[in-house]
Amino acid sequence: MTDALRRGRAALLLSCLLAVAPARAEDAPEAIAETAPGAGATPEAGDALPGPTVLRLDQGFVLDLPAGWVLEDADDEPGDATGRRVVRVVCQTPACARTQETCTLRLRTGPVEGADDAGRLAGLHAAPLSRYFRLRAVLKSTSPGASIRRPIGPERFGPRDWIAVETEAAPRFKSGLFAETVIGGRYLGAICKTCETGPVRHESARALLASARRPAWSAAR
Amino acid sequence: MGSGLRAPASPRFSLPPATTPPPHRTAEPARLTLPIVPVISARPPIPDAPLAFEAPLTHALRVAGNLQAQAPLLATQRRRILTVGLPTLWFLALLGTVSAWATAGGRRNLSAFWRDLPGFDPLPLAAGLGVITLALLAHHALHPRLARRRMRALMGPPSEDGRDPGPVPMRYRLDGAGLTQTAPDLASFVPWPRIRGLAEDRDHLFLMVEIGDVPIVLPKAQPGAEVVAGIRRWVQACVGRPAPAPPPAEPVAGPEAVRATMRLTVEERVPIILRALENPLARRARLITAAAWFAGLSLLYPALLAMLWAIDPYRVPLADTLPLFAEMVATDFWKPAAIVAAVIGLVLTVHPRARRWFARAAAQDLDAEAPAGEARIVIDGAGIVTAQDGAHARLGWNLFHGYERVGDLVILSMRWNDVLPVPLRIFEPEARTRFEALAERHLPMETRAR
Repeated sequence: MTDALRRGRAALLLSCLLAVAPARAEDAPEAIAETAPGAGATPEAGDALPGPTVLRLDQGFVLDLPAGWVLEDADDEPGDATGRRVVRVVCQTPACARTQETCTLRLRTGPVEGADDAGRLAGLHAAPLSRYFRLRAVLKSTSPGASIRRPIGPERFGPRDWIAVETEAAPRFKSGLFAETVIGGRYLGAICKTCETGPVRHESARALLASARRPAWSAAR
Repeated sequence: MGSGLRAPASPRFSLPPATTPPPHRTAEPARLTLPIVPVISARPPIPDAPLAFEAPLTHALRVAGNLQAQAPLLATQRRRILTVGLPTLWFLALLGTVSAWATAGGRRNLSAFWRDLPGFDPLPLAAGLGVITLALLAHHALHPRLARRRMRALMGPPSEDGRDPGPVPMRYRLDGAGLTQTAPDLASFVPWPRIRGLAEDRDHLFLMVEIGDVPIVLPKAQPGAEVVAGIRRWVQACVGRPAPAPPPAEPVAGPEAVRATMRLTVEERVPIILRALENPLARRARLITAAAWFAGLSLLYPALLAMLWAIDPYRVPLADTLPLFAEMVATDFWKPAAIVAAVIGLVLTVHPRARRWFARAAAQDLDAEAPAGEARIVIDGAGIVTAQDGAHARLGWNLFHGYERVGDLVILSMRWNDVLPVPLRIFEPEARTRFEALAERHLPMETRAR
């Protein structure tokens, strides 16, 4: 009964969401920057690209940054992203000069309720209304007039199941891969964006997500 | 619910007692200082000539008359939609919001409530209150139409085959004695003291009478403005005072006629009200109402979602939304539908019992309102004559087309499903046999067990 009530409230909440512009910076659509390939911002070929880095987040999450990917606003240590709830990593390889790939990783402060990780992951968007709001959020985050490229559903990145959805942006906006998983009861969300319009997209982003793990939790088990 | 629920219609105006202008007086010294103003009666003089006219009596006019008889009750009902219904539903919506907060977990006490209040998002609540308000305003606006529909249903099918037999040409005559109505097989007279006054709406004039439940209805358009003005003059001149002319003679019946006096008991009024509540049209109207409630309440949530989707500037494309919407039929939408179906099923199950209880309450009200004294009834080969308090009506057998027996009560039905109830207990055994023989000769028989 309270479930139905809550869902009814969610439906009503939609009415107030309508007028609200994208609230969080990482959720806002990203327009393609007007930088020609090979222009100043791009590292010259032959420059020392940052090698593979281990990225450490709060709650014991660890990911392997692929070569050429860097943590934005890094302090002294390039792989230390602890103390942040939202972490942005940027691809700086020559290929990325065109695709301008980025990923935003997001943590939640509280644990996800459920018996095991599979159940918790399935529970994230069990209700159709919840999936609708997810689709609405990812389309809004991609661009005006965006469409769904790959419907929301479970997808395997490396050893782990994620719930992912891909969007196709309007011209001059970045398309996105939106994925969520639960490891040891903790939530990890990722928003990866690219200018790529071809059939193969988000390859290094998938590799990044495939490397997500929580060694401390695994050891504790 | 009840056509039997008749609230007494009060006259729309009260006339001062008739006074004649005093003769020119130079009486008491105290009055000498005042200018002498003759008292002029507000009451117009009694018109010289009787007013006779003809107007068709239709089923729609009967509906209008029944609605007018219940106008005070219906007006109260309609007012309460906004004065009682709106505050109640608003209160429940607020209560629901507070209870949702209280059951959301965490520390729940008054200080926590005040602490959370500034962060409360008022929009969902405002949307809920807006929907409630719109729904009740719509109900308020539609109430007259719904009341008319319900009244039609309660009056039952206009004839056995359900078709309206058409208008009756009715001749009216207003004179110093009262109002005489004449139609084929019908002649009725109501003396002025039994006429309470005139009420009217945009299209109808209603002569409120103390005999019977329903006022006499005239369409303003048919007799014309001149006649309507004449009716007003007669009513203003004659209502509330003894009739200035003697009443016409009551119809005479042969010596072989069956004579009796009657006054319906509460127990005898119950089956008449139940007959209205249980007629096929009323049953159908109830089922339609139940279906409308079911459809409306079950579709409320999907319709709300569809509406919000349609106006959402960030809406998900239809092709991606439809499968989710279809999935919601199985996961969400069936729940309100099932709850509504259960409630409606319960109401329909309880309704027959509630009907009986309601009919009894309405019968008691009617009994309390009915004029004191007994009515005389005379039955012969030509028809039935009823008389009470100076009013009388002659109803030819051709007017009747149904005879129903409910226990000891005979219900004779007429055109448009009007009824004349006759309790058999009022007759001596020999008179009862003669009445039944007369009825059998002129009417198709039907007996209902109850």
